[in-house]
Amino acid sequence: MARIELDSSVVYDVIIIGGGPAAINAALYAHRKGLKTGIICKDFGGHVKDTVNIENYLGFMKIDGYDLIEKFKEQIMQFDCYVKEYAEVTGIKKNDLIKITTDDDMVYTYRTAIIATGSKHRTLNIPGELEFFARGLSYCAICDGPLFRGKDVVIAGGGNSAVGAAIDLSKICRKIMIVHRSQFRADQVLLDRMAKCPNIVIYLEHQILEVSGSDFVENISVLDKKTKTQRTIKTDALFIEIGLVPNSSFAKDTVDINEFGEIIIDETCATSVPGIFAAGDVTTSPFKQIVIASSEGSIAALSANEYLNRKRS
Amino acid sequence: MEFDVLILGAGPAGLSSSIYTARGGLSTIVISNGRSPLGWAGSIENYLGFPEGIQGSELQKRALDQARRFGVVFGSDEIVAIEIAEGGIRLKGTEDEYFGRTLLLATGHPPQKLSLDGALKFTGNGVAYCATCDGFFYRGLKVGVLGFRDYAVEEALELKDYTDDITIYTNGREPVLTEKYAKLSSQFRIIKDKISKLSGDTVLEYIIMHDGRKEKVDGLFVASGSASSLDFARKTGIITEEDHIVVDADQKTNIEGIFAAGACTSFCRGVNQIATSVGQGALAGKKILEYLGRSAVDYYNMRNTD
Repeated sequence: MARIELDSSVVYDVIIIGGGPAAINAALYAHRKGLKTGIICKDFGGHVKDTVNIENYLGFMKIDGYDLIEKFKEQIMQFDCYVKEYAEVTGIKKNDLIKITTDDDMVYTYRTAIIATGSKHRTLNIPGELEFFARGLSYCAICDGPLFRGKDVVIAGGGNSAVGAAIDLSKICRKIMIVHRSQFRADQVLLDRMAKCPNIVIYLEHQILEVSGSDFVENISVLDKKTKTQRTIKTDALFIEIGLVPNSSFAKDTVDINEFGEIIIDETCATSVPGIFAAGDVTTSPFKQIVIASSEGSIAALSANEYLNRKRS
Repeated sequence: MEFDVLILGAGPAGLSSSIYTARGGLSTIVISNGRSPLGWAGSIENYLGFPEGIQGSELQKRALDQARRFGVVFGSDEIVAIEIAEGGIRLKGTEDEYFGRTLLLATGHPPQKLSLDGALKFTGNGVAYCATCDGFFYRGLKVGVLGFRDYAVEEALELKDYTDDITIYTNGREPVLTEKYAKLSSQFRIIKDKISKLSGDTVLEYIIMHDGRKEKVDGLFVASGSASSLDFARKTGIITEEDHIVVDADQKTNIEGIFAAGACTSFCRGVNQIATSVGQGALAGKKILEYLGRSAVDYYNMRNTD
């Protein structure tokens, strides 16, 4: 009972692509059904491992994401768990069996697949964004905000996550500047709450053009879209909170996805291709929550098992 | 007592939901009769987070503590009646009455089908499951109520609007009644004998006792055990399918303000796991927040940044 390296010469019953709660619970359920199960992931944990103080996972009053994922992993490693970590899937094709290619040019063949690759933070695609990542530039204000206690910070975005983050950080940072290229999309109740925070400055119709500094973030340059003038804003941090993009691009030519790039699934977690299932944040499921993703993982595994049983009979 | 959210059932679905609604700033009560199967489940090994396995009672205790921390109120009560009211739903319990702007039904598995010989044959032809709905058809007739808990007495009381000839049949059980309902039950004839079968030609005519004795009845209202989500569904017109409550992708029933999650829903006919109930509960909680005009963002998190 342990972790075993995935073998490209073996045809497994089910391959799970991803390493977050949906993937891990799919693995748990597939193993318990006696399926020969493989996992291919970049790493275990997804967004969860970067989250502190999780309080809404039933059974844990308060737990850091890293610790929760360690427990999840321990639970599945009790089975013979075939894993390929630090790898990215680049393509998925189905004929009779399912063929998966990875970024190290390996090809793996399976009877069924469960896509649970989650989502990644949407980027601004501006000069300096890559360079200053983790040097004052972050995609998670709630995670990294406390590092900027008493400092001035910029939050990019105008939805619930950006406005929620601004309200959050208003208690610990000196000045919060919320910069958004158009108008707010956040819920009114959040905007009302934000209006009560005296240290939040709002720049609507402002587009961020560049982030700059020496070692750490020092300035952003913005375009005021109304006056067509450009200016520089001094800041200690830039938090980019402009939503999530599903990690579905490797599968988009194979399974149906919607306008947001989410893989379309039915209530059994089946995709448009028989034998390929999907679960968690990469899918059309409505809320990005650990327990919801994890629930879908179990459903996907049970559906994959049923699919295999039908094919065998 | 008034709340934003009434949650009926303290299993994985109800408790998970309560954490989401309470964190979202909604006043929430979880009402339970203390008989959730979660409490007596043995070692649970397929719920993520507990590699060593966890006893059902321990998981339940942890979940209760977790919910309590966010201000969830717990009501220990036997709910015996439901009513759609102005702006919400009213539940009548043995102990208290509750008004909620929304209701989540999370009472778990539907009760086993009544195994009484003849019950199926006469369903709709003398065997009924809802005094409020069908009592009218038995105006001035001889009716029985099958059951031994407070719920049976409540159904009998409901039937008093239509007839004076009411008998409670406990089918071999000693009545298990709270003090209040024990008093109320004294106005009814109570037969504790074991029932052998129901008989009649096309409609129910007799209850046949084990000793062969016959009791003439026109109608028998089934109220065995505690009232379940299925009973409340029948009373409010919630659509069911094979004894499970039909919900949409938002966990909503067809009745405004009433949601359902977990093993009592149609979804769970296929997959019925602690993980899926917890997930459904969370989804229902989020959807209740939306329904009551709250943002889906976690308020509690914001209030407690440190």
